[in-house]
Amino acid sequence: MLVSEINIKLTILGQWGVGKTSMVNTFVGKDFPSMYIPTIGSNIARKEYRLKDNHIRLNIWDIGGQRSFNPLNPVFFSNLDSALLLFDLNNPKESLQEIIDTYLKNLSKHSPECIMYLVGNKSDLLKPEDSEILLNIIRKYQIQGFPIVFVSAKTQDNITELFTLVIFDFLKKLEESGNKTQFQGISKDFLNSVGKSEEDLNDLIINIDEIDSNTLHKKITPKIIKKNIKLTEKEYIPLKEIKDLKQIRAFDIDKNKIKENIFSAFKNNLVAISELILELKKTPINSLIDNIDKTLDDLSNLNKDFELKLDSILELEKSDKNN
Amino acid sequence: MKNVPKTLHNLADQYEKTMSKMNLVKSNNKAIQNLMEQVSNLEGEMKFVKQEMTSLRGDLLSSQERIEQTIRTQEEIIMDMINKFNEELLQHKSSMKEDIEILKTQQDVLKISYTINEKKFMDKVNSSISRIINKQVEGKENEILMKIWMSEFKEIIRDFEKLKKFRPKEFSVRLNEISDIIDIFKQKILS
Ligand SMILES: Nc1nc2c(ncn2[C@@H]2O[C@H](COP(=O)(O)OP(=O)(O)OP(=O)(O)O)[C@@H](O)[C@H]2O)c(=O)[nH]1
Ligand SMILES: [Mg+2]
Repeated sequence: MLVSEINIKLTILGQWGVGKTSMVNTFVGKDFPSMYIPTIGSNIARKEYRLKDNHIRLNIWDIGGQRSFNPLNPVFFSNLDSALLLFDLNNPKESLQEIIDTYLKNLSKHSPECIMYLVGNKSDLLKPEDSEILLNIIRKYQIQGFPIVFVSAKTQDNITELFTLVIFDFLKKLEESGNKTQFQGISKDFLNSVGKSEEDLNDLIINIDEIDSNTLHKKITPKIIKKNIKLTEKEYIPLKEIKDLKQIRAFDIDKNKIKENIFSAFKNNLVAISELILELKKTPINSLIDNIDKTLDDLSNLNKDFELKLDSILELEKSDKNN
Repeated sequence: MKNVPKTLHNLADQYEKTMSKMNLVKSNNKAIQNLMEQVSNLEGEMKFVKQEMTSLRGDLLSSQERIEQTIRTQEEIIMDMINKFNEELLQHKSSMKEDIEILKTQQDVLKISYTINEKKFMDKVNSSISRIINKQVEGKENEILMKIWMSEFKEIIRDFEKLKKFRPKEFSVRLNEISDIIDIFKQKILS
């Protein structure tokens, strides 16, 4: 039997500073960033799972949330299988509003079929006495119909579980939609391969209408202790929005780190492009024209992303000269 | 000459009349004598008519000859023209053949230089990338690489729009070329 390749396109969206990059980094095994470095354009990360009959590749698109120098690019929203809508549990009002104002609209326009999740990050910062207020704020925003999950990129709490849930749901959908017997039982196979059960995943999801602050805290705190991660008692430093890359000096941000990140994202984009072409090579003739169009769309949009990255480097250099 | 037929007609008429008169005056000698005169007159007229007819035929013949001559000359002229045309056509043909030959060789040269250029291009990409790196423009290598890639990528996107028009075989050839170019960059940039 032929091993089938399953590609999943997942986008992570949310206001600047909510922890998108931190979350992806901890998930793929990179270090949790010690300081805030805004993402420019997009950065694509990958995670692969080899099952007996199937090869699953999760393509994670981490999108920069600083709107003033990150124009929204259709490639962030199109042909998506899943999307994580991230908000900051430490700053829920603004970050939830941003999801409603910016991301939900674009998602329903470009990828109405994709599976979405509402993800509250920085659960490590959540104090028990604030949980009731937090729950009420989330209820008030009424972003309904999506599973809600709380995670912490810093303590890695629920991170692997969340991504496992994303893949599991996608595979379930694949099993149900396809008449291909090929995919029968694939979601179970996948769970077995990562050593998780369906109960583990169900445990993740917070029923916002019923949960009380006590249950919520039981849901998140024990895991942090279990992982035995030392939490520094340092006061949380509020992040600042950057309105102009040229003014980066005014922020406590390492410019060279930004450049480094841009270049590494650039490499990742390059890999993504060569994979798009590879995919196209494997396309059967009858769906070739459609796929060429789709690939062309992706390529043009990635091109815009390249331009943005290059422009940003130039902007950063200008800020070098000005100071 | 025009009135010849009329004269003939008249003659016939008169002959008829005369014949009837002859019957009438058979017994009359004087009348016979008269008649004889008339007959000789008639003969004279007949002679004239005969002459007229001969000259008419002569006229006809000469005009026919003239027409034939004209036709002949025109034919000759046309033949001349045709011959000339043929000649020119032949000349043209051969010069066209030459042109086609020239074009063909040009095409061959182009084809060869295309493959050479392609190889050269690849070499150029390779060498320019390594040259740029070697120049060690401090801290700028990545940006420059990005810039080179960007212009290459634009080209790829432009090519991509044409892909749909290709037949499967050409399509896969082009696609392979594109992925080769991307691979070169990938190797350079990821290394
Ligand atoms: N305490 C705590 N801090 C976090 C967590 N996740 C991220 N942070 C911090 O939040 C800041 C922003 O994190 P990033 O991951 O860069 O945010 P982002 O969403 O990628 O931001 P943009 O790329 O600008 O959109 C950093 O200083 C992180 O250290 C978390 O789970 N807990
Ligand atoms: Mg980021």
